[in-house]
Amino acid sequence: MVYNALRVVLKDPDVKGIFINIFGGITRADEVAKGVLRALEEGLLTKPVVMRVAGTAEEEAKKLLEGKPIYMYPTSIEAAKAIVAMVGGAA
Amino acid sequence: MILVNKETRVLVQGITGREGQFHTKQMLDYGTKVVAGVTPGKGGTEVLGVPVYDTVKEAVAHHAIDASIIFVPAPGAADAALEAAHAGIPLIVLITEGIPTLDMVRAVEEIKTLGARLIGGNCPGIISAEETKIGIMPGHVFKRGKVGLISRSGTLTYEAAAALSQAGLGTTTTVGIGGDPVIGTTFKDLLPLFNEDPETEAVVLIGEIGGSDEEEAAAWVKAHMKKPVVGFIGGRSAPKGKRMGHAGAIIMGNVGTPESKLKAFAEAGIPVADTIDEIVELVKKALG
Repeated sequence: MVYNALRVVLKDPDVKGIFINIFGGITRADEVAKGVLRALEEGLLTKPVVMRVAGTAEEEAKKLLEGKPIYMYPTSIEAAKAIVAMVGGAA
Repeated sequence: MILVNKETRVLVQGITGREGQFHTKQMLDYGTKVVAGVTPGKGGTEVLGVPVYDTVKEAVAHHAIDASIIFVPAPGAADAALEAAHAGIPLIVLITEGIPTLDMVRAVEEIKTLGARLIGGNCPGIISAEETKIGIMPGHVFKRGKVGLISRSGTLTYEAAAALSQAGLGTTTTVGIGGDPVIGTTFKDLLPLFNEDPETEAVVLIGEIGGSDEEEAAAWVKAHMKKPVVGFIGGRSAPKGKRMGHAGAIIMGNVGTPESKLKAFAEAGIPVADTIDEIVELVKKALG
């Protein structure tokens, strides 16, 4: 699901960066992380990806993404500010 | 605390499915008393040591049950809620998303006449912090405290609970009422319970665009509420006529606009937070 969403979004040439904010309840954060990793392994992530993961399976997700070229932030506000700064938008 | 506590005995409908099994494990780990499960055709088996029955009727014949949580897929979910109500279960938590609205119109009325309370559908459920979780929310972000929380959004509920817990305010009971246009329980049904709950010192209402539940809640607060209430409205930047995430989060004509909800909250003296962090600040201020 996340993998498919990334593929669709990255087809848009105007997209300068991707912001993923997940506070998992029924959505498991590790499944979100797996989708991002698959896109990463296939070389699809040509734009900066900023993520904030919390909630259900948060620890598993963080472990999966450790050391990967993904910008991780602990809160949605910090993550939102980071992606805005990266793509050069108005904060 | 309202509605549920650590003594509440819970049935899981759809217990053998992927979500049913995963969240039964999460609930058991939290300390929830899951006493039985139902999946038609799987009667006589066990899931995580919990006995499974073919029907709710059989489950209630073998166990005393106070509440049911439903993970049944959308086409059969409203029927599952009706089955629980007909079997005499007084509290029914409907997690399933995507239930046909006409199914819900029929189910909500019938469940009401049967005297049961329906929470949801398309909701994260109920949690009384550090007592019991009858839902799908990440339990670890809910610390026991003094704020009652009612919300139409799952994720915003977790955000608010985490922020309130981090700030040392904590929560009593949190009810996710669901994001569908037709739901069993709205804000104004729960406010009287929090009003009478000695542990709850303030209530946070997380509404969103669409419908008029926030306006009705504001009117009730103005007339009856003895405790401070803080509000939040999700989807304030959504364009008109565009459905935002939830089926119920849509502005139709002049109904469901954020302006109408903000005006109703202002008239009832309910301060409205613009961010999650501001919810914490406004609750602190309200409690002095």
